[in-house]
Amino acid sequence: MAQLTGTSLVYGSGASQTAGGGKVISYGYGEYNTRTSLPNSNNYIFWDAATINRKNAGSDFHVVALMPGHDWNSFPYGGCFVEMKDSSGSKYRSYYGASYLCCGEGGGQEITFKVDWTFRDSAISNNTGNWTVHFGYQSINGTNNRWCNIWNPSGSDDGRGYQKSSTCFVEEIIYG
Amino acid sequence: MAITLTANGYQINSGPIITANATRVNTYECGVNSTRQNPSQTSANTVEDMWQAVTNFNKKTSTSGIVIEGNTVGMDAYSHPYGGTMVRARHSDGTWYAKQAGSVYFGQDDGEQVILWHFTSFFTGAELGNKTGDFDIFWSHLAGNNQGGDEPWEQEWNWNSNEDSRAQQQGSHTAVYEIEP
Repeated sequence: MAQLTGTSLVYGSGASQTAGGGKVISYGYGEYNTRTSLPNSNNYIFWDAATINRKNAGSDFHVVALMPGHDWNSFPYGGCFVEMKDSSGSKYRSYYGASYLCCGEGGGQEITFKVDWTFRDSAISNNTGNWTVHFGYQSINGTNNRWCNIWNPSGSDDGRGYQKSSTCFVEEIIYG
Repeated sequence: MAITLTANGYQINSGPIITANATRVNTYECGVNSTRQNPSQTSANTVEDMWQAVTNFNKKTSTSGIVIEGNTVGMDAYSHPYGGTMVRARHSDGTWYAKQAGSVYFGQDDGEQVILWHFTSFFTGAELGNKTGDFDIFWSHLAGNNQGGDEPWEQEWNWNSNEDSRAQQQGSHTAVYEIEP
């Protein structure tokens, strides 16, 4: 018979457990595969990527995303960001962990925008419920820019190409 | 409606009987660096630890492994293709564990442009000596022939508007997960 012994749960196998629950408690995922011309702009959000239902007011969000582009315009630039919006509409933005690379061969080539960032609980509200993930770009000096001319390229950009897609994965994590 | 102890485990209401700890992610920590700086080149025969990203990551069980993934951002290619980058884990007993698998960087030999150094890798429990306790996690590099004078980028790690007047401050991130097999 399984037993509760003070601070432990002892299974029939004899193994015991003194702490409960996992660290990753919720997931969200977004995908977008429409070829899109991006505007030369500032403080512009180009993708509302994913929704995650936050269970715990003290948790973190870890966001990972890959977005393909085509044809460089602004580089190195350094204005791309990842942003999260809570259930009350408050927004939290990070320029850290959001970078892209252009093929050095010239214009009309591939561009890759990669995001890897953790929004720590201390940097966001304690709202639970639905949060959303967004990606965009804003320069620090107010000029208009864009990280690529075409987001999610297709056979229109290279006759050999499939329709490319962007993906975003977000997980809710209990830190520690 | 109840939580019931059964012969071999427990059951919540009419759900499945749980007979073992179902946790798969025991521990999660992350490291962040957003300070513009110019790391050192390697010296011959000496691994250069560019960043101690996570300190005292506490591994709970001997059977678990550690997933390490992240992204660092720099400016201006220098050593390429190079292939000398790695992640290192140092146990509190002083033992070092290194892995090149899963470490790549992307750059362009075109002057002052972005370099991304990315890592996604996994140390099994056995590869870490089935140890528990505290590990420090490092972004490191050294050429396979042990020569010195290499670095993943020539200019700044975590560059900013000094490199491009339009740029926000750039930052790097590392996530570490302890996973039960």
